[in-house]
Amino acid sequence: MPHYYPHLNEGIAAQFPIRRTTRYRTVVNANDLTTNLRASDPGAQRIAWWLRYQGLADNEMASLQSFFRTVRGPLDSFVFLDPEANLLAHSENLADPVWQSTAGLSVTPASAAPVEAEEAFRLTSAPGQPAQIYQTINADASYRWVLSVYARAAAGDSLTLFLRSANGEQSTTHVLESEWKRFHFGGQFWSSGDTVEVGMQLDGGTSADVTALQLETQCSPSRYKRSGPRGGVYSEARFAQDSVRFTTLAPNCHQAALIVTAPLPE
Amino acid sequence: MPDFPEIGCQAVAQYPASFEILTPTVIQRYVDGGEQRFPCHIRARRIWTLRLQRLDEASAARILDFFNSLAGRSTSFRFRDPWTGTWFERCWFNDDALSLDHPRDGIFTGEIEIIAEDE
Repeated sequence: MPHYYPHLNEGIAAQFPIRRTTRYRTVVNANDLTTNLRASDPGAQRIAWWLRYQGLADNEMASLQSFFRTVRGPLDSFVFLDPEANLLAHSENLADPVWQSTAGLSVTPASAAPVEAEEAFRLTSAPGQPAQIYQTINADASYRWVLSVYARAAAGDSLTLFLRSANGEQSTTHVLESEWKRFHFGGQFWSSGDTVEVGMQLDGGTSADVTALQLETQCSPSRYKRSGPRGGVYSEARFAQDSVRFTTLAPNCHQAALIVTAPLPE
Repeated sequence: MPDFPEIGCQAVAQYPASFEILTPTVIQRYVDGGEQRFPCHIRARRIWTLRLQRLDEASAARILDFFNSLAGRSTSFRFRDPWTGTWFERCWFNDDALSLDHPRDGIFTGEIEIIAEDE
């Protein structure tokens, strides 16, 4: 069973300020004349997050300490959710197999997309049969999640956004308008689980244009970030340090700094 | 060849920005006090240091996407000298790493070095 980076009491993993470093490795052939001969080393790409925590409560500090010992510092890998990324893969391509759907749902390209996105899709459900489309995220379900989507439909049609884990389901229904509008839904499961399913449900015989789906672990959605074949879930993350110092400023008030790093896929 | 992206108002840099000229030279000094000098790199280099402050999310994403599309310093790009407006056709990032700080919601900061060799 994989290890999951713990979250704070608010259900999030990071605080401001956050530093994110993207690092490549380039082999440069430097001679007396020029350094124009360069080659990239794609296997060495890495990403790192510099996490600085202020005002940690006792239980939050204990949780981070326990986790650091469990993964033995930089030795063992764990699942880390990029606090600055869209956790969903293919956020604008609902025809990709990463998006699973129930029977009776047709997914076809829509005629136009909102200004924030390049592609949109029309979801149409068969009459008398609600239909769902969703994506499964391999992450600890007990984080605080917020799902956002741009959607439009003929007046009166509605779209239900849902979060689902082994411990239950949470959802909210929005009535759509004919103009593109961003909707969001947040929730948190109070017990952990290995996966979270996030998606949308249409009532039977209705349709909606949707795009720019975004999942984040925070209280409210940030600006939309387009994602490609992978989202911001890093399953091979590790600590970049073999020691961590906690400083106590007052009762139940601690601070710490951690660096998490992960390979970037080619 | 891709162009370095603008970060708002058709600008590619913010104040304060730095510009440096490098003509690396090897100096051999002898016991009699004499010396010989050799060019380490025949072509002079220019380095622009861009300090990015208060970038919004869209500008920060544009810079990061551009950096990722070039895979760090492995691929050259076009850059317009902020002092003269002259385009330099073959420039590189001077580092394989790009750090963007996110001090509060919607605000990013960072620093970039861009290098070019004289043609």
